[in-house]
Amino acid sequence: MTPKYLWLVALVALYILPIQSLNCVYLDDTILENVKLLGRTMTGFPLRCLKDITDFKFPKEILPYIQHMKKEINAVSYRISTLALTIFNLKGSIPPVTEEHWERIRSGLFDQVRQAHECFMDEEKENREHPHSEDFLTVYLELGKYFFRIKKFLINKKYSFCAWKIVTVEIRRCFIIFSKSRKLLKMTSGKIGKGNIYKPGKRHRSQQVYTIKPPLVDPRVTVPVAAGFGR
Amino acid sequence: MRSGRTVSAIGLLSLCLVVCMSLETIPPSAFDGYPDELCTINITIRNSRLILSWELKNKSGPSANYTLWYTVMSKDENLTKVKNCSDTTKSSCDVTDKWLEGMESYVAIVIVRRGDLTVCRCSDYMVPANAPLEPPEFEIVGFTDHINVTMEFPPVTSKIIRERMRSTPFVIKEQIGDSVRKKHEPKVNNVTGNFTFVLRDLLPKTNYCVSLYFDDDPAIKSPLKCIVLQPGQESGLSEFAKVGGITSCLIVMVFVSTIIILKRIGYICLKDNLPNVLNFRHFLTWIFPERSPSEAIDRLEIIPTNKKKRLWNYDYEDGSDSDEEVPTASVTGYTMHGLTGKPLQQTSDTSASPEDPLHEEDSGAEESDEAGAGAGAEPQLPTEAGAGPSEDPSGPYERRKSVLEDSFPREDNSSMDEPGDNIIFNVNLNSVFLRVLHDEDASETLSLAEDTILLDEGPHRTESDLRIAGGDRTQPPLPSLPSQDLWTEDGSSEKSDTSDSDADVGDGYIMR
Repeated sequence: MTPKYLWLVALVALYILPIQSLNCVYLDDTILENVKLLGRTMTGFPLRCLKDITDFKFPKEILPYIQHMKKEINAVSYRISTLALTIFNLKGSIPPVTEEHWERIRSGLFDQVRQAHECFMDEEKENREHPHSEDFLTVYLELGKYFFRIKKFLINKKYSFCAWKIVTVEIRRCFIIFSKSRKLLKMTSGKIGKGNIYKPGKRHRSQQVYTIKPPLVDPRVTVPVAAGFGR
Repeated sequence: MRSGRTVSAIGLLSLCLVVCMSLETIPPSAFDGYPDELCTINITIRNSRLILSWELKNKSGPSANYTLWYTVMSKDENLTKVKNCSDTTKSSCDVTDKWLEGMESYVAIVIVRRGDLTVCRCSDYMVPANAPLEPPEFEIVGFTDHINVTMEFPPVTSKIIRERMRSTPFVIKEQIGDSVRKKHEPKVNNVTGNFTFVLRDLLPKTNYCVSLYFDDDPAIKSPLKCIVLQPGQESGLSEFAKVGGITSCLIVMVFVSTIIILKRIGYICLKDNLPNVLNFRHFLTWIFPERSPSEAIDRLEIIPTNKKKRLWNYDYEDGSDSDEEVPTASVTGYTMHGLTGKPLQQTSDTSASPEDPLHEEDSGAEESDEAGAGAGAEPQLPTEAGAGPSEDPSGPYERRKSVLEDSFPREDNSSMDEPGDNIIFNVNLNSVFLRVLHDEDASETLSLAEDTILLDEGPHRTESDLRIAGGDRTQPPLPSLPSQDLWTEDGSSEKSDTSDSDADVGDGYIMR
C-alpha cells in the first residue's frame, strides 16, 4: 500500500469505531421497526385460533436483571435476536402469510441480528478482562428455555396457521417487552454500550467463570429443528 | 352411590354456570357461527385512560350495537365481556379497569349486532404496554412576550399508564409558521390536574404555533394552536411596560440634569446682549415715557406783582374793585388771570398786608384758574414766599410749592389745605416777576413785565428782576432769562401801564 493511501486508511480506521458503535444507536429503532412489521403483516386474530392459545411462560423474573444490566445488555439483545431469527428460519412449514411478507419479516430480523452482533462484539472487547456475571447467565438460560417452548409449540401444532399466528404474536410481545426494558435502562443509566461501568453480579458457589461464545447465524442456512437450541 | 355422584356433578355444573354467568365468560366457540368481519381495533391512552376503539371496514348499513369481549392469550381461551361496553352504539370502550397487565397480549372481540341479529365479529390482538399516548387537551393564552400553555392531566389509576408516562418524554413544540423554533420537555410524570407551561422570550406581532405530543413511536401529535402576539395584549402592567417606564424616566432625568449642568457652567442659555433698540423690556416706557421725577431743574419763582397794577384797558376804578370782570381780549392778545393765595405759614404776619392786594387783585382777575388747573401740561411754577437766606436750603422745592399755593389761592378754597396738590394756573407773565432758582448765591432775576415793555422797544434788554410780592423783600435778584422764553402768549409784546409802576423796585422788587 502506497504511502499516499496510508492517510486514507488511517482516516477510515479512525472513524470505523464510531461508525460501528452507531449500530447500538440504531438497534432500538430496528427492534421497534420489526415490531411494527410483525403487526402490519400479521393483522387480526381469528376467533378459531383462540382454542390453540397457550402460555409460553415468558420469564418475567429476568426483567429486573435486564433493567440493571448495563454492560451486558447488548449480549442479551443479541441472544434474543438470534433466537427469534431461528424461529422464523425453520423450514418445513407453511408460512401464514405470503412469501413476500415472509421474506420481509426475515430480512428485518436479520438486520436486527447483525446490529446486535456488532454491539455485542464491542461490548465483549470492553469486558475482556471481566467475565460475565451470574445474572447474565440466568438471563441467557431463561431466554433459551423460553424460545425452546415456542419452537416446541410450533412443532407440536405442525406449523399450522393458527400456530404461526400465535407464535408471531408471542415473539412480537417479547420484542416489546425487551424494547421497553432497554428504554428504561437507557433512561436510568443514560447510555448503553461503550463506556458503561461493569457491575458485578452474584457469583456461583464454585466461583466458576462462564464464557459465552456468540453463535454466528447465517439466515441463508436453514437451521435444523433439533440443532443445539436452548443450550 | 350413583345418585350421590350425580347430585355432586349437577351441583358443580350449577356452580360453574353461576360463576360463568357472574363473570360472563363464554367459550369462543359460541361465536363460531358468525362470519368474520374485517375491522381495525386500536388501543390508545387518552386522558390517562386506556381506550379501545374499533372501526369496521364496511361502514355501510344501519347503526349497530357493539359488545366487547376479550381474553388474555397466555391464560384462558374463554372470553370475558366488558359490562360497560355491552350493546353500545359507541365504537370505543374504556378498559382501564379491565386490562391490568401491560405486558400481556390481549385478544379483543367485537360482536356486531343490528337489531336482534348478530351480523359479524371482529377480533384483534394487542399489548397494552405498547399503547400510544395521546397528548392532553390544552389552551394557549398569548401576551406581549410570552405564551401560557395550560393543560390538564387527570389522575392516573392504572399501573400500565403510569409506566408509559414515566418512560415516554412529553414534548411541547413551539414553532413560527412551519419552522420549529424550540422543543420543550417538561417533566409531567407526577403531574395531576392543571399544568401551565410558559413559553418565554417571544417576539410581539409574530404568529406562534404550539403543539403537544409524547415522544413515542408512533407519536400522536395534537393539532396546532396558533396565536399572534400583539403588543400591549396583556392585561395589567407587564414587566416589559414597567421596565420601559423606568427606562424612560431615567432618560428624562439624565436629559434634564444635563441641561441644568450645561446652563450652570454657561455653555448654553447665555445672557444675550441685545442692543438697546432690541431691548423690549422697557417697551412700554419707550412708548409712554414716564414723567421724569422732579430733580434739579430750573424753576421759576413766580412773584405776583402789586395789586395796584391795572388792567390793560386802563380802567383803574373798575378793575380794582370789581370782583367779576369778564375777560376781554386785549389788543396784545393775553388775558389777565388773578392770582390768589393764602398767606404763608412762615411769614404769615409779614405777608398779611401783601396778601390783601392779592385778594383784591384776584377779585379783578379773570377766571382762568380752572383752565389753568386743567392744563396739566403746563409746568408748575414754584413760588417762593419770603425766600431768603433765612430759609432752609434743603427744602426749596417744598417751600416753593407751598408758597405757590399760598400766593395763589384757588377759587376752590377747599383745596388749599392739601399741601401735596399741585396748582396749575395760567400766569400772566406781564404781571409777575419770575426768578430762576439755580443757586441762591448766583441768582438771576428777570422781569417779564420789563421784558414785555422792552419788547415794544426792542428785545435788547435781557435782565429783569421778577419777584413775588408779599414775600421776602430781601431776596436776591433772580437770574435773567431771555424774554422770548418767558413770553407764552402769542408773542406780541405790548406795553402796559403797570410797567411804569413796576419800574420802582422798592425793597428788592420792581414795582410796576
